[in-house]
Amino acid sequence: MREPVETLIARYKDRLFGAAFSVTQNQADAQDAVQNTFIKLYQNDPAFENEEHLRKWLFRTVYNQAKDIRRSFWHKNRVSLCELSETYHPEPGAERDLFEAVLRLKEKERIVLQLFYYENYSVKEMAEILHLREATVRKQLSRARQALKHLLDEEPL
Amino acid sequence: MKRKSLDQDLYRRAFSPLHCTGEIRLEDKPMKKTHSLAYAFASAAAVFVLGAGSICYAADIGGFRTLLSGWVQGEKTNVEAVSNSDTGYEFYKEGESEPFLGGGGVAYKNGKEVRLSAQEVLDMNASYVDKEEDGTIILYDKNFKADITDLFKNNKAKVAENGIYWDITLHEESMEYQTKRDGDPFDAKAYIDITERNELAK
Repeated sequence: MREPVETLIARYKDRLFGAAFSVTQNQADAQDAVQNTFIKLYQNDPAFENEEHLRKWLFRTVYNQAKDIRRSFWHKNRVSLCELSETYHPEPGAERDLFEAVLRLKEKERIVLQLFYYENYSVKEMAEILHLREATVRKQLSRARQALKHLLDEEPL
Repeated sequence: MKRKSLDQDLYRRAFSPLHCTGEIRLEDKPMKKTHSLAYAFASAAAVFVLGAGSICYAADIGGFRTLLSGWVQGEKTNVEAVSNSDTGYEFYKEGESEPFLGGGGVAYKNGKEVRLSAQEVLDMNASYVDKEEDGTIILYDKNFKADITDLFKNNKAKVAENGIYWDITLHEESMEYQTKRDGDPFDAKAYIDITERNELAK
């Protein structure tokens, strides 16, 4: 299957941004990761068997791009947790608490949560996207949930 | 698939406001940044005016230049900001041709994105952690400056100063940190107070 890249940008850019942001926690870097992903798609023009194949390629690529950007220069995450959370959820509530708590998790925990809960990927699919063993993904997911529960139970956010 | 331990709908609602706001340009090649860009988000309560005394004028080259004053590496410094995109600025010290900082961002007000002013972006960068070429880690908070290199254990440090709690992690080629300013974190005792540490060291 082949679709115009512009169509795919409109369909996927926000979701890819969410995945990239879970790695970078920085708007500009996440934006760059998304841009690089679509440039790669445009330049390589790969053929995909179906929509799911395309979707996995996009998420795998944006994840790798986000990681590369973090490694490629002296990345500095200067976004204050409270400033960031207030941007999205000015009113205190369960969504804001969850958003803030997730931001305090480790990078590998954030990305599995994003793929699992937001993108609805299975553990097997996440293992393919992240190039990890299924057991590792399962362990990271479990740790992420535990850490999240701890933060939400213990900390008045 | 079991999703009982965390409400999936709640998670999606919490993260659905994340949007890729910039334009995707396919003609560009992937870019490598030459200096750090600290794009920031602002709180909903951010004020959308330039700081008092700031002057805007059209520069010969580039966009509007704004003269500002802000904290840079612990010192009050006169800075020139040049708009470089829909939401970003480059910041120059007086007499320098290379920017020392880039950044920008938007705030959400009444459901609409509003561009941050250059002063707001500069002020948001008054508190940060930097690594010198010799490996020394310096924490800056406006006019406060401290060497915190020895406070790292296994590439992590938890430090506190002036009501701000810092979680800092060093990676092989990068560094990330988060700050908490609106009260004590649940593990406040785990943070080393920098001023207290410095007093004891005397």
